[in-house]
Amino acid sequence: MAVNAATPDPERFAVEVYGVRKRFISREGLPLGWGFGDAHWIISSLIKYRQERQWKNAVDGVDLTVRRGELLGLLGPNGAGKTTFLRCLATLLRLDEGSAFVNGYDVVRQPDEVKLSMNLIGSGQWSAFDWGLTVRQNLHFFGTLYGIAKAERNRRIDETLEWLGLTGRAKDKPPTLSAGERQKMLLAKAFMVRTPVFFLDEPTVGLDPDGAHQVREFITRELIGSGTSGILTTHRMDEAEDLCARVAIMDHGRVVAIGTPLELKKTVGERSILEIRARRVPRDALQTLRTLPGIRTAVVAPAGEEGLEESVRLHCEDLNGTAGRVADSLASAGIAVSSIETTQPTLEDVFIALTNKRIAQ
Amino acid sequence: MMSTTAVTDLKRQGFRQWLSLVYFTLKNAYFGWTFFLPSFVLIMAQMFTAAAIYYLMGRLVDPGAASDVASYHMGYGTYIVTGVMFNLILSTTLSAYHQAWLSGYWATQFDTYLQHPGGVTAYLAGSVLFDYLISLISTVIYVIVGIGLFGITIDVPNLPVVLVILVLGIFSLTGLGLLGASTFSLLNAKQQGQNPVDWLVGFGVALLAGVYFPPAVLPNWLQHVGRWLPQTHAIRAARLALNGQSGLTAHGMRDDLLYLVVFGAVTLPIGMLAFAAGLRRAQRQGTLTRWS
Repeated sequence: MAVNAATPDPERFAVEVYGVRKRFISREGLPLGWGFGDAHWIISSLIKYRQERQWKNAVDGVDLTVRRGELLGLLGPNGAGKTTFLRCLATLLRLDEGSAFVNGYDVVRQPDEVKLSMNLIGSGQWSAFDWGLTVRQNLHFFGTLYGIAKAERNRRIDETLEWLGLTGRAKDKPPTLSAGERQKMLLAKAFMVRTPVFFLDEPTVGLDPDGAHQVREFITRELIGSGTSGILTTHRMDEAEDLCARVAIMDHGRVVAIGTPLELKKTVGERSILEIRARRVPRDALQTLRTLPGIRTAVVAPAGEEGLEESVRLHCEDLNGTAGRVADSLASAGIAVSSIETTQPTLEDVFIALTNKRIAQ
Repeated sequence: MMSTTAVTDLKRQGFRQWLSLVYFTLKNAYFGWTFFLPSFVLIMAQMFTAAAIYYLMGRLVDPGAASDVASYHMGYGTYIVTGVMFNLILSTTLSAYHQAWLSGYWATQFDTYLQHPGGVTAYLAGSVLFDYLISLISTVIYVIVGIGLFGITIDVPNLPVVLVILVLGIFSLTGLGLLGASTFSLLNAKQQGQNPVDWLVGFGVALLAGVYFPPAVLPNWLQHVGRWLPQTHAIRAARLALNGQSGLTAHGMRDDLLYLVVFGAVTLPIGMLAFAAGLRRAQRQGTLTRWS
């Protein structure tokens, strides 16, 4: 493994990453359902063994730093490599190339120190709770993992349960909790342990708006407010913009841009943004829009969770007459448009400008 | 906020912290075992039933009809029950490491334990210890059923010798147990019943190692194959020691014990190397965790 000779600067940086690369072998086994029963895995392993190895870079030469007291947002679509990157930093995966430091410790050479310096909170990781234990017993377990003495542990558990509104559920077991309450249990772990560095992997995914709001409030007040540092991965532009001083945009394992939200928006440059809302925009109509004069990119986000309308964002060189041409083109294709508006660039537009696709895709 | 000094202090807790993790794993495994009460009651009932079946089988066999058994100075019932009890603990050694790896992965416990120094080894140690504990409970149930329902008398004149044999038996099979566990990662044996070492050795034991009947009744060539299995030696030695026939230094016993030591000394390093390689590979590929 090639590791460069970077020297950490823990006084300034909580996380330092230099040229990190993580790759996986991609091989297809025997399709399930071929009816080989228990012998399936043996035959499948043999088939995989005989295949040529194909490497896929999940994290591809990432360089970044997180300053002390800073929460860095990591924005990108599914499969961009965000979670793999965090798992590398959390020592759950070994780096293939490059070097990384968390709290000044080398993730390859000092994994134990790194583990004690950070807390990884993943979406859906609540499945890692012990479902035979009550909420309180689970929190005791987390406290034990971090070597917190019993009296102190009890004090912190009481405080945490109260803060997160889980006191009434202390004797219940995880299967009886709602998804939001389980996510809160994960945060309770973070609240109890207070490591200098946090990695939050899509902490609000699957939560209702109230639950997501509570989680964001927790992050703002208890983590950012206490001077803790960390990385937050998310699909949600508003979340990244609200919580993070700086945002890194990741795609295909690479950090394609990094800066404050304002700096990033400036990179969209002279483009103007038109947003069209319609019940459905067929792909051939989208293709036609792309060929209209003055339009650089047109990308569509499928109907969201509410399932009502698609939203098309058009990046235009010049707005003069463009809205009219777009409206005419859509009308001739028989598409009923709810609205066509000019909007300010968002972080998503930065992503579109860099990759020609939307994060939600 | 935790300083780097605090991190170093925490790391210094080292072994004590690791032991508390092992203890917690054991406790969690117990909670998990008893979590579904009807299932727990059924498992206990099955243990009692299995013990009763073996004792009843023993009653069916006329003492004079099994001359090879008689050479152990015990009835067939005692013969089969001692074989089953010892094999239970020995087969735990063979399967517990792979089983622990499976449960750590499928119950997503590794997701949590991996984030802490020594977490994975603590989890594996706790799970393996719990499996031994269950085996121990089973053997106690065999004894209780024997005394309570079938009026057998327990007289073990040299218990320390029996325990030494048990420890050597476990030692001889630990390497194979670790080798079997490594297949989780090295051969992608991620499902229950996919441990190839357990397959091969476990299959042979029932037939060849003298658990249910003396190996002397097997054809010569099969007896020869059976002699390669550590279980054959451990179970025979244990039976001889149980009724006080042989001490540790008796001629036949010495050969059995020597075989166990040599077998363990050869296979343990191989098993440890394979296990470490499996862990390394799993961490490189991220296959220890499912969600995080």
